[in-house]
Amino acid sequence: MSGFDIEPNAVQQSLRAAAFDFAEAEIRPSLADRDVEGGESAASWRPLWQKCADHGLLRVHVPVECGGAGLDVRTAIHVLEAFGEGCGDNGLSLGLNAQLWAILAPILAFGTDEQKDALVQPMTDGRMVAAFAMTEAESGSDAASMSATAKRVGGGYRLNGVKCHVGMGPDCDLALVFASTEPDHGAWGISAFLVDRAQATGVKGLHTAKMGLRTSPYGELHFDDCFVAEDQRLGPEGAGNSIFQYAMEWERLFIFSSHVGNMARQLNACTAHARDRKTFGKPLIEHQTVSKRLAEMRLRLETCRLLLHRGAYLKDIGRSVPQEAAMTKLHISEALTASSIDAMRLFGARGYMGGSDQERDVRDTLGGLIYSGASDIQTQIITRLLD
Amino acid sequence: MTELTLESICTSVRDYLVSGPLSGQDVSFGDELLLTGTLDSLSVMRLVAYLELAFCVDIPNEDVTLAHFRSISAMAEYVLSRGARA
Repeated sequence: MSGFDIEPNAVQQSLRAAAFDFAEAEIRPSLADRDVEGGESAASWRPLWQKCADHGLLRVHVPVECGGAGLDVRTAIHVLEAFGEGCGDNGLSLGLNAQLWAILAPILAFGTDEQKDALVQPMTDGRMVAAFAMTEAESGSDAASMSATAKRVGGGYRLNGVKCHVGMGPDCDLALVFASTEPDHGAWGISAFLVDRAQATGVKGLHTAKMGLRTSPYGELHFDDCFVAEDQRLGPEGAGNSIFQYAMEWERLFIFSSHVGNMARQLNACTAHARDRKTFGKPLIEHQTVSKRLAEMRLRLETCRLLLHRGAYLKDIGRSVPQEAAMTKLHISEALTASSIDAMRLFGARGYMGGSDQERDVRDTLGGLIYSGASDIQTQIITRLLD
Repeated sequence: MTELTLESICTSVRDYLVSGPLSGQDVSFGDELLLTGTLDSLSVMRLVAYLELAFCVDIPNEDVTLAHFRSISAMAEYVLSRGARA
Protein backbone atom coordinates (compact mmCIF):
# COMPACT_ATOMS: atom_id res chain seq x y z
CA MET A 1 0.00 0.00 0.00
CA SER A 2 1.48 3.35 -0.93
CA GLY A 3 0.45 6.94 -1.46
CA PHE A 4 -2.40 8.93 -0.06
CA ASP A 5 -5.75 7.47 -1.00
CA ILE A 6 -8.86 8.21 1.01
CA GLU A 7 -10.79 5.29 -0.53
CA PRO A 8 -10.42 1.99 1.32
CA ASN A 9 -8.86 -0.99 -0.43
CA ALA A 10 -10.44 -4.46 -0.17
CA VAL A 11 -8.81 -5.31 3.15
CA GLN A 12 -9.71 -1.94 4.63
CA GLN A 13 -13.29 -2.28 3.36
CA SER A 14 -13.61 -5.60 5.11
CA LEU A 15 -12.19 -4.23 8.38
CA ARG A 16 -14.46 -1.20 8.09
CA ALA A 17 -17.52 -3.36 7.63
CA ALA A 18 -16.62 -5.50 10.65
CA ALA A 19 -16.03 -2.45 12.87
CA PHE A 20 -19.27 -0.81 11.72
CA ASP A 21 -21.35 -3.94 12.31
CA PHE A 22 -19.77 -4.51 15.72
CA ALA A 23 -20.38 -0.90 16.80
CA GLU A 24 -23.96 -0.86 15.57
CA ALA A 25 -24.84 -4.17 17.23
CA GLU A 26 -22.93 -3.88 20.51
CA ILE A 27 -22.46 -0.19 21.33
CA ARG A 28 -25.24 1.71 19.61
CA PRO A 29 -28.33 0.14 21.26
CA SER A 30 -27.54 1.39 24.77
CA LEU A 31 -26.12 4.78 23.77
CA ALA A 32 -29.07 7.00 24.72
CA ASP A 33 -29.48 5.33 28.11
CA ARG A 34 -25.77 5.51 28.92
CA ASP A 35 -25.72 9.19 27.96
CA VAL A 36 -28.41 9.86 30.55
CA GLU A 37 -26.79 7.63 33.16
CA GLY A 38 -23.34 9.24 32.73
CA GLY A 39 -19.89 7.73 32.95
CA GLU A 40 -19.55 7.83 36.73
CA SER A 41 -20.55 4.21 37.06
CA ALA A 42 -17.95 1.89 35.56
CA ALA A 43 -20.76 -0.61 34.93
CA SER A 44 -22.08 1.73 32.22
CA TRP A 45 -18.92 1.75 30.08
CA ARG A 46 -16.39 -0.82 31.21
CA PRO A 47 -18.11 -3.90 29.70
CA LEU A 48 -18.32 -2.03 26.39
CA TRP A 49 -14.67 -1.00 26.62
CA GLN A 50 -13.87 -4.70 27.01
CA LYS A 51 -15.97 -5.57 23.97
CA CYS A 52 -14.10 -2.95 21.96
CA ALA A 53 -10.80 -4.44 23.08
CA ASP A 54 -12.04 -7.93 22.21
CA HIS A 55 -12.92 -6.66 18.75
CA GLY A 56 -9.32 -5.48 18.42
CA LEU A 57 -9.92 -1.74 18.44
CA LEU A 58 -7.24 -1.06 21.05
CA ARG A 59 -4.49 -2.84 19.15
CA VAL A 60 -5.01 -1.56 15.62
CA HIS A 61 -1.72 0.28 15.15
CA VAL A 62 0.30 -1.55 17.81
CA PRO A 63 3.21 -3.50 16.28
CA VAL A 64 2.80 -7.26 16.02
CA GLU A 65 5.90 -7.83 18.17
CA CYS A 66 4.12 -5.98 21.01
CA GLY A 67 0.98 -8.08 20.62
CA GLY A 68 -0.83 -5.70 18.30
CA ALA A 69 -2.52 -6.02 14.92
CA GLY A 70 0.35 -4.16 13.23
CA LEU A 71 -1.93 -2.20 10.90
CA ASP A 72 -0.56 0.89 9.21
CA VAL A 73 -2.05 4.13 10.47
CA ARG A 74 -4.20 4.58 7.35
CA THR A 75 -5.90 1.25 7.93
CA ALA A 76 -6.25 1.89 11.66
CA ILE A 77 -8.02 5.17 10.91
CA HIS A 78 -10.45 3.42 8.55
CA VAL A 79 -11.35 0.98 11.34
CA LEU A 80 -11.87 3.70 13.95
CA GLU A 81 -13.84 5.86 11.56
CA ALA A 82 -16.20 2.98 10.76
CA PHE A 83 -16.56 2.25 14.47
CA GLY A 84 -17.70 5.84 15.06
CA GLU A 85 -20.12 5.68 12.16
CA GLY A 86 -21.59 2.45 13.50
CA CYS A 87 -22.20 3.60 17.07
CA GLY A 88 -22.28 7.40 17.17
CA ASP A 89 -20.92 7.16 20.72
CA ASN A 90 -18.63 10.18 20.95
CA GLY A 91 -17.75 9.72 24.62
CA LEU A 92 -16.62 6.11 24.54
CA SER A 93 -14.80 6.58 21.23
CA LEU A 94 -12.97 9.61 22.63
CA GLY A 95 -11.63 7.46 25.47
CA LEU A 96 -10.56 4.72 23.07
CA ASN A 97 -8.84 7.13 20.70
CA ALA A 98 -7.11 8.97 23.55
CA GLN A 99 -5.67 5.68 24.80
CA LEU A 100 -4.48 4.76 21.31
CA TRP A 101 -2.93 8.06 20.26
CA ALA A 102 -2.02 10.00 23.40
CA ILE A 103 -0.85 7.14 25.60
CA LEU A 104 -0.01 3.99 23.64
CA ALA A 105 1.83 5.95 20.92
CA PRO A 106 4.27 7.65 23.33
CA ILE A 107 4.76 4.43 25.32
CA LEU A 108 5.68 2.65 22.08
CA ALA A 109 8.02 5.51 21.12
CA PHE A 110 9.68 6.30 24.45
CA GLY A 111 9.10 3.24 26.62
CA THR A 112 11.78 0.76 27.64
CA ASP A 113 11.33 -2.87 26.61
CA GLU A 114 10.32 -3.64 30.20
CA GLN A 115 7.68 -0.90 30.22
CA LYS A 116 6.25 -2.09 26.91
CA ASP A 117 6.23 -5.71 28.11
CA ALA A 118 4.36 -4.73 31.27
CA LEU A 119 1.85 -2.26 29.85
CA VAL A 120 1.08 -2.67 26.16
CA GLN A 121 -0.60 -6.07 26.34
CA PRO A 122 -2.95 -5.15 29.21
CA MET A 123 -3.83 -1.89 27.45
CA THR A 124 -4.64 -3.60 24.18
CA ASP A 125 -6.60 -6.50 25.66
CA GLY A 126 -8.85 -4.22 27.73
CA ARG A 127 -7.57 -4.97 31.22
CA MET A 128 -5.87 -1.60 31.61
CA VAL A 129 -7.65 1.68 30.89
CA ALA A 130 -5.26 4.59 30.60
CA ALA A 131 -5.54 8.33 31.15
CA PHE A 132 -3.42 11.29 30.06
CA ALA A 133 -2.80 13.51 33.09
CA MET A 134 -1.27 16.80 32.04
CA THR A 135 -3.73 19.65 32.60
CA GLU A 136 -3.99 21.45 35.92
CA ALA A 137 -6.42 24.04 37.18
CA GLU A 138 -3.97 26.86 36.45
CA SER A 139 -2.13 25.36 33.47
CA GLY A 140 -3.71 24.14 30.27
CA SER A 141 -1.63 24.58 27.16
CA ASP A 142 0.91 26.57 29.17
CA ALA A 143 2.91 23.59 30.38
CA ALA A 144 5.64 25.74 31.93
CA SER A 145 3.31 26.87 34.70
CA MET A 146 2.65 23.33 35.92
CA SER A 147 2.68 22.90 39.68
CA ALA A 148 2.70 19.09 40.09
CA THR A 149 6.11 17.95 41.29
CA ALA A 150 8.07 14.72 41.37
CA LYS A 151 10.82 14.98 43.98
CA ARG A 152 13.67 12.55 43.91
CA VAL A 153 13.80 10.05 46.78
CA GLY A 154 15.59 6.73 47.17
CA GLY A 155 14.72 4.48 44.22
CA GLY A 156 12.36 6.91 42.55
CA TYR A 157 10.19 9.97 43.12
CA ARG A 158 7.40 11.32 45.32
CA LEU A 159 4.61 12.67 43.15
CA ASN A 160 2.38 15.49 44.40
CA GLY A 161 -0.24 17.53 42.62
CA VAL A 162 -3.74 17.62 41.17
CA LYS A 163 -4.52 16.94 37.51
CA CYS A 164 -7.90 17.96 36.16
CA HIS A 165 -9.98 17.54 32.99
CA VAL A 166 -8.61 14.01 32.69
CA GLY A 167 -10.64 11.79 30.36
CA MET A 168 -11.07 8.32 31.93
CA GLY A 169 -9.08 9.75 34.86
CA PRO A 170 -11.15 8.87 37.92
CA ASP A 171 -11.43 5.22 36.86
CA CYS A 172 -8.16 4.69 35.02
CA ASP A 173 -5.80 1.82 35.79
CA LEU A 174 -2.77 3.56 34.36
CA ALA A 175 -2.02 7.28 34.26
CA LEU A 176 0.58 8.96 32.09
CA VAL A 177 1.40 11.80 34.45
CA PHE A 178 3.50 14.88 33.77
CA ALA A 179 5.23 16.51 36.72
CA SER A 180 8.12 18.82 37.31
CA THR A 181 11.37 17.21 38.43
CA GLU A 182 13.16 20.58 38.18
CA PRO A 183 10.65 23.32 38.98
CA ASP A 184 13.20 26.06 38.19
CA HIS A 185 13.46 24.80 34.61
CA GLY A 186 9.86 25.47 33.60
CA ALA A 187 8.72 23.38 30.62
CA TRP A 188 12.23 21.91 30.35
CA GLY A 189 12.08 20.52 33.87
CA ILE A 190 9.03 18.34 33.25
CA SER A 191 9.25 14.54 33.28
CA ALA A 192 6.68 11.88 32.41
CA PHE A 193 5.65 8.98 34.64
CA LEU A 194 3.60 5.84 34.19
CA VAL A 195 1.56 5.34 37.34
CA ASP A 196 -0.02 1.91 37.68
CA ARG A 197 -2.86 2.48 40.13
CA ALA A 198 -3.01 -1.14 41.21
CA GLN A 199 0.44 -0.70 42.72
CA ALA A 200 0.42 2.96 43.64
CA THR A 201 -0.62 4.51 46.91
CA GLY A 202 -1.69 8.12 47.37
CA VAL A 203 -3.73 8.38 44.16
CA LYS A 204 -7.37 9.41 44.25
CA GLY A 205 -9.82 9.97 41.40
CA LEU A 206 -12.79 12.38 41.50
CA HIS A 207 -15.57 12.53 38.94
CA THR A 208 -16.49 15.89 37.43
CA ALA A 209 -19.77 16.78 35.75
CA LYS A 210 -19.59 17.77 32.07
CA MET A 211 -21.88 19.00 29.32
CA GLY A 212 -21.32 16.20 26.82
CA LEU A 213 -19.28 13.06 26.15
CA ARG A 214 -21.14 11.57 29.10
CA THR A 215 -20.65 7.95 28.09
CA SER A 216 -17.13 7.94 29.49
CA PRO A 217 -15.74 9.13 32.83
CA TYR A 218 -13.87 12.37 33.34
CA GLY A 219 -12.49 14.27 36.27
CA GLU A 220 -9.50 14.76 38.52
CA LEU A 221 -6.55 12.74 39.68
CA HIS A 222 -4.99 13.67 43.01
CA PHE A 223 -1.45 12.55 43.82
CA ASP A 224 -0.49 12.77 47.47
CA ASP A 225 3.08 11.64 48.12
CA CYS A 226 2.60 8.90 45.57
CA PHE A 227 5.82 6.90 45.20
CA VAL A 228 6.85 6.32 41.60
CA ALA A 229 9.82 4.03 41.00
CA GLU A 230 12.68 5.12 38.76
CA ASP A 231 11.70 2.52 36.15
CA GLN A 232 8.21 4.06 35.90
CA ARG A 233 9.59 7.24 34.38
CA LEU A 234 8.87 7.42 30.65
CA GLY A 235 11.92 8.70 28.79
CA PRO A 236 14.77 10.65 30.35
CA GLU A 237 14.33 13.14 33.15
CA GLY A 238 13.42 16.51 31.64
CA ALA A 239 12.03 14.98 28.43
CA GLY A 240 8.42 15.45 29.56
CA ASN A 241 7.84 18.45 27.34
CA SER A 242 9.10 16.58 24.26
CA ILE A 243 6.96 13.56 25.13
CA PHE A 244 3.97 15.84 25.58
CA GLN A 245 4.54 17.49 22.19
CA TYR A 246 4.92 14.05 20.58
CA ALA A 247 1.69 12.81 22.14
CA MET A 248 -0.17 15.98 21.16
CA GLU A 249 0.84 15.58 17.53
CA TRP A 250 -0.72 12.10 17.38
CA GLU A 251 -3.72 13.17 19.42
CA ARG A 252 -4.48 16.25 17.32
CA LEU A 253 -4.23 14.24 14.13
CA PHE A 254 -6.39 11.30 15.16
CA ILE A 255 -8.42 11.97 18.31
CA PHE A 256 -11.47 12.66 16.12
CA SER A 257 -11.14 9.52 13.95
CA SER A 258 -14.38 8.03 15.23
CA HIS A 259 -16.15 11.39 15.49
CA VAL A 260 -15.56 11.92 11.77
CA GLY A 261 -17.22 8.53 11.26
CA ASN A 262 -20.16 9.82 13.27
CA MET A 263 -20.32 12.86 10.96
CA ALA A 264 -21.18 10.47 8.12
CA ARG A 265 -23.91 8.88 10.23
CA GLN A 266 -25.22 12.33 11.10
CA LEU A 267 -25.30 13.42 7.47
CA ASN A 268 -27.09 10.24 6.40
CA ALA A 269 -29.75 10.82 9.06
CA CYS A 270 -30.17 14.45 7.99
CA THR A 271 -30.41 13.54 4.32
CA ALA A 272 -33.05 10.89 4.98
CA HIS A 273 -35.04 13.29 7.16
CA ALA A 274 -34.83 16.09 4.59
CA ARG A 275 -36.15 13.75 1.89
CA ASP A 276 -38.97 12.32 4.01
CA ARG A 277 -40.21 15.38 5.81
CA LYS A 278 -42.50 17.69 3.87
CA THR A 279 -43.21 21.36 4.60
CA PHE A 280 -45.22 23.76 2.48
CA GLY A 281 -46.02 20.93 0.09
CA LYS A 282 -42.54 19.77 -0.74
CA PRO A 283 -39.73 17.79 0.86
CA LEU A 284 -37.37 19.75 3.10
CA ILE A 285 -34.48 18.97 0.79
CA GLU A 286 -36.08 21.00 -1.96
CA HIS A 287 -35.96 24.15 0.15
CA GLN A 288 -32.89 26.07 -0.85
CA THR A 289 -31.71 26.88 2.68
CA VAL A 290 -31.99 23.22 3.72
CA SER A 291 -30.11 21.98 0.66
CA LYS A 292 -27.40 24.57 1.31
CA ARG A 293 -27.06 23.27 4.86
CA LEU A 294 -26.77 19.67 3.67
CA ALA A 295 -24.21 20.63 1.05
CA GLU A 296 -22.11 22.37 3.67
CA MET A 297 -22.31 19.34 5.96
CA ARG A 298 -21.20 17.11 3.09
CA LEU A 299 -18.31 19.42 2.30
CA ARG A 300 -17.22 19.46 5.94
CA LEU A 301 -17.30 15.66 6.04
CA GLU A 302 -15.14 15.52 2.94
CA THR A 303 -12.54 18.02 4.18
CA CYS A 304 -12.38 16.35 7.59
CA ARG A 305 -11.82 12.94 6.00
CA LEU A 306 -9.15 14.35 3.70
CA LEU A 307 -7.23 15.88 6.59
CA LEU A 308 -7.62 12.78 8.75
CA HIS A 309 -6.44 10.34 6.10
CA ARG A 310 -3.66 12.61 4.87
CA GLY A 311 -2.43 12.79 8.46
CA ALA A 312 -2.45 9.00 8.60
CA TYR A 313 -0.44 8.83 5.38
CA LEU A 314 2.11 11.34 6.71
CA LYS A 315 2.58 9.29 9.88
CA ASP A 316 2.90 6.09 7.87
CA ILE A 317 5.86 7.62 6.01
CA GLY A 318 7.39 8.72 9.32
CA ARG A 319 6.90 12.46 9.09
CA SER A 320 6.78 14.82 12.05
CA VAL A 321 3.87 17.14 11.23
CA PRO A 322 2.97 19.47 14.11
CA GLN A 323 1.46 22.11 11.82
CA GLU A 324 -0.69 19.57 9.98
CA ALA A 325 -1.76 18.17 13.35
CA ALA A 326 -2.89 21.62 14.51
CA MET A 327 -4.74 22.25 11.23
CA THR A 328 -6.46 18.86 11.45
CA LYS A 329 -7.53 19.39 15.05
CA LEU A 330 -8.74 22.93 14.42
CA HIS A 331 -10.68 22.12 11.28
CA ILE A 332 -12.33 18.91 12.46
CA SER A 333 -13.35 20.29 15.86
CA GLU A 334 -14.93 23.36 14.31
CA ALA A 335 -16.59 21.29 11.56
CA LEU A 336 -18.02 18.78 14.05
CA THR A 337 -19.66 21.56 16.02
CA ALA A 338 -20.95 23.39 12.95
CA SER A 339 -22.42 20.22 11.46
CA SER A 340 -23.95 19.13 14.76
CA ILE A 341 -25.72 22.49 15.10
CA ASP A 342 -26.83 22.24 11.46
CA ALA A 343 -28.20 18.75 12.13
CA MET A 344 -30.14 20.03 15.13
CA ARG A 345 -31.60 22.91 13.09
CA LEU A 346 -32.55 20.52 10.31
CA PHE A 347 -34.45 18.24 12.67
CA GLY A 348 -36.10 21.24 14.34
CA ALA A 349 -37.71 20.66 17.73
CA ARG A 350 -37.08 16.90 17.45
CA GLY A 351 -33.37 17.62 17.28
CA TYR A 352 -33.51 19.73 20.42
CA MET A 353 -35.27 17.09 22.51
CA GLY A 354 -33.34 15.22 25.17
CA GLY A 355 -32.37 11.74 23.98
CA SER A 356 -32.11 12.69 20.31
CA ASP A 357 -28.87 12.06 18.43
CA GLN A 358 -28.79 15.69 17.32
CA GLU A 359 -29.04 17.14 20.82
CA ARG A 360 -26.38 14.75 22.11
CA ASP A 361 -24.03 15.48 19.21
CA VAL A 362 -24.20 19.23 19.88
CA ARG A 363 -23.26 18.71 23.53
CA ASP A 364 -20.58 16.15 22.64
CA THR A 365 -18.85 18.15 19.94
CA LEU A 366 -18.55 21.44 21.85
CA GLY A 367 -15.85 19.90 24.06
CA GLY A 368 -13.71 19.32 20.99
CA LEU A 369 -13.24 23.07 20.66
CA ILE A 370 -11.35 22.98 23.94
CA TYR A 371 -9.56 19.68 24.61
CA SER A 372 -6.20 18.86 23.02
CA GLY A 373 -5.55 22.60 22.83
CA ALA A 374 -8.36 25.07 22.17
CA SER A 375 -8.94 26.48 18.69
CA ASP A 376 -7.12 29.68 19.69
CA ILE A 377 -4.02 27.65 20.54
CA GLN A 378 -4.19 25.72 17.25
CA THR A 379 -4.28 28.94 15.24
CA GLN A 380 -1.20 30.17 17.11
CA ILE A 381 0.65 26.93 16.37
CA ILE A 382 -0.27 27.03 12.69
CA THR A 383 0.87 30.64 12.35
CA ARG A 384 4.09 30.15 14.30
CA LEU A 385 5.03 27.19 12.13
CA LEU A 386 4.56 29.04 8.84
CA ASP A 387 7.69 28.97 6.64
CA MET B 1 32.03 16.85 1.97
CA THR B 2 32.85 19.94 4.09
CA GLU B 3 34.54 19.28 7.42
CA LEU B 4 32.29 20.48 10.23
CA THR B 5 33.73 21.91 13.41
CA LEU B 6 32.12 23.04 16.62
CA GLU B 7 32.78 26.63 15.54
CA SER B 8 31.26 26.23 12.07
CA ILE B 9 28.11 24.55 13.45
CA CYS B 10 27.72 27.27 16.08
CA THR B 11 28.00 29.95 13.38
CA SER B 12 25.40 28.26 11.18
CA VAL B 13 22.97 27.78 14.07
CA ARG B 14 23.43 31.39 15.18
CA ASP B 15 22.75 32.61 11.62
CA TYR B 16 19.59 30.49 11.51
CA LEU B 17 18.35 31.77 14.88
CA VAL B 18 19.14 35.42 14.25
CA SER B 19 17.51 35.42 10.83
CA GLY B 20 14.50 33.38 12.02
CA PRO B 21 13.17 32.88 15.55
CA LEU B 22 15.16 35.73 17.13
CA SER B 23 14.17 38.25 14.44
CA GLY B 24 17.54 39.96 14.24
CA GLN B 25 18.39 39.87 17.96
CA ASP B 26 22.06 38.89 18.33
CA VAL B 27 23.03 35.96 20.50
CA SER B 28 26.31 34.51 21.78
CA PHE B 29 27.22 30.85 21.51
CA GLY B 30 26.97 30.34 25.28
CA ASP B 31 23.78 32.31 25.93
CA GLU B 32 21.01 30.46 27.77
CA LEU B 33 18.11 30.16 25.32
CA LEU B 34 15.50 27.94 26.96
CA LEU B 35 15.28 28.95 30.61
CA THR B 36 15.28 32.62 29.63
CA GLY B 37 12.32 32.00 27.32
CA THR B 38 14.32 33.23 24.32
CA LEU B 39 13.14 30.09 22.50
CA ASP B 40 9.80 28.48 23.30
CA SER B 41 8.63 24.94 22.53
CA LEU B 42 7.45 25.81 19.01
CA SER B 43 10.72 27.53 18.16
CA VAL B 44 12.59 24.47 19.40
CA MET B 45 10.37 22.27 17.24
CA ARG B 46 11.38 24.25 14.16
CA LEU B 47 14.99 24.32 15.28
CA VAL B 48 15.07 20.52 15.51
CA ALA B 49 13.78 20.27 11.92
CA TYR B 50 16.46 22.77 10.82
CA LEU B 51 19.29 20.88 12.58
CA GLU B 52 18.19 17.55 11.12
CA LEU B 53 18.14 18.98 7.61
CA ALA B 54 21.24 21.19 7.82
CA PHE B 55 23.53 18.64 9.44
CA CYS B 56 22.03 15.36 8.19
CA VAL B 57 21.35 14.02 11.68
CA ASP B 58 18.41 12.23 13.23
CA ILE B 59 17.30 13.80 16.53
CA PRO B 60 15.11 11.48 18.61
CA ASN B 61 12.37 13.20 20.59
CA GLU B 62 13.80 12.03 23.91
CA ASP B 63 16.98 13.98 23.16
CA VAL B 64 15.14 17.30 22.92
CA THR B 65 16.08 18.34 26.44
CA LEU B 66 17.58 21.28 28.22
CA ALA B 67 21.01 19.63 28.29
CA HIS B 68 21.21 19.49 24.47
CA PHE B 69 19.38 22.68 23.52
CA ARG B 70 20.07 25.25 26.22
CA SER B 71 22.66 27.15 24.13
CA ILE B 72 24.12 27.24 20.65
CA SER B 73 27.29 25.58 21.98
CA ALA B 74 25.27 22.76 23.58
CA MET B 75 23.38 22.18 20.32
CA ALA B 76 26.60 22.12 18.30
CA GLU B 77 28.19 19.59 20.64
CA TYR B 78 25.06 17.48 20.47
CA VAL B 79 24.75 17.42 16.66
CA LEU B 80 28.46 16.65 16.34
CA SER B 81 27.95 13.71 18.71
CA ARG B 82 25.15 12.53 16.39
CA GLY B 83 27.56 12.44 13.43
CA ALA B 84 26.78 15.80 11.85
CA ARG B 85 27.90 16.27 8.26
CA ALA B 86 27.40 19.01 5.75
